[in-house]
Amino acid sequence: MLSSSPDAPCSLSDVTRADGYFRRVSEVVRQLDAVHDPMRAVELLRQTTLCMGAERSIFASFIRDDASCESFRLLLACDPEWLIDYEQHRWHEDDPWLAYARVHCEPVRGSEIPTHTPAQRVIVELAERFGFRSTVIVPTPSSGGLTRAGVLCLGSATPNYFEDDGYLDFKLVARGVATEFHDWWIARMKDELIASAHITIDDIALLAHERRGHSTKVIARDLHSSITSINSRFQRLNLKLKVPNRRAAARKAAEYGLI
Amino acid sequence: MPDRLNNKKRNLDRVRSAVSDPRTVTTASADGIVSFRLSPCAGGILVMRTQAHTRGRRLVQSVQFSDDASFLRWCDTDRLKFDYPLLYANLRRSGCALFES
Repeated sequence: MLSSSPDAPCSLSDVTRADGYFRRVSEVVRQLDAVHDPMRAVELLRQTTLCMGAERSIFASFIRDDASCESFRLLLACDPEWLIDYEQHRWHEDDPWLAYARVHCEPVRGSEIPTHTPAQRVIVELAERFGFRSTVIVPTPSSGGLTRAGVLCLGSATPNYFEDDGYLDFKLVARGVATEFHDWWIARMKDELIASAHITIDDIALLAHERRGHSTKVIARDLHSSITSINSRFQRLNLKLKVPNRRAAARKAAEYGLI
Repeated sequence: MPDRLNNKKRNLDRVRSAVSDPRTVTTASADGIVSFRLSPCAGGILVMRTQAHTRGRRLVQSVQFSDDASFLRWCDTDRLKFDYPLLYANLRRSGCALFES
């Protein structure tokens, strides 16, 4: 489907050893601070990818609200037809790179992730057809038992492109870039939830108490309120966040970075 | 308290500014299963596709197209066009109009 772009670098080490490599990447990524729309973030991801020395990339962010609701958010700096094919076949259930990112935090080359099933081999071959012949997978896990996680997948149409001496510097940069994009997504999801559920500062304080496991009595004392009032406020919050109880409300607030 | 209110206002303003580009086009299926947001950019157009699956799964893809040919090819590849022909006709029309603007 895709071939190397005509101006593709000779080797990864040529790119990473060039003067100002780290600075150039940093200058592009820093612009994320001023971006608040995912569509604009795609432009920056594309620029960052090229600056790093890769040709194409995907940043995927995953979050599970509860057992019945999960969402994937993708920034695609690559041919989007790949994702349509991927989605129609529900490849996310068998994707070896995604599976790696769910349980590891170390960046790794795609060539180092074994494929065990025919479906996994088909997924990797599909990626190769869309220009990810050599890849680096950079997980961005979350701490604190949260489900939210991200993964940056960087690719080149040149076979073995990421296998040379430049990989160590590239990996260092890729980890920082992935973390920046992950943090950016969490901030956007937080903004969306605050706006859509009309969450107030006082709501967030209440949720923080619940997350720390405080009883209604303790919360009422700390907030100079009555037990009845606290219970009522939690009921309203559950409705706003579309969750069945206050524990779920606090967990959702934590997943979306509110607390 | 004023600081808290200012922070809150800043947050909300930031969210609103993200969707206030007058050239942005939004189109969605009547059942809310799939929606698109299109916006022009320096290198072409930006598209956000949101699909709500059964069983509570939600997929949001954001992508940039540098030419109308690749955008139209992407529209044609999407099998949902058979379920929502009017939506996809509108999507193609809106995308091409943004490339021409």
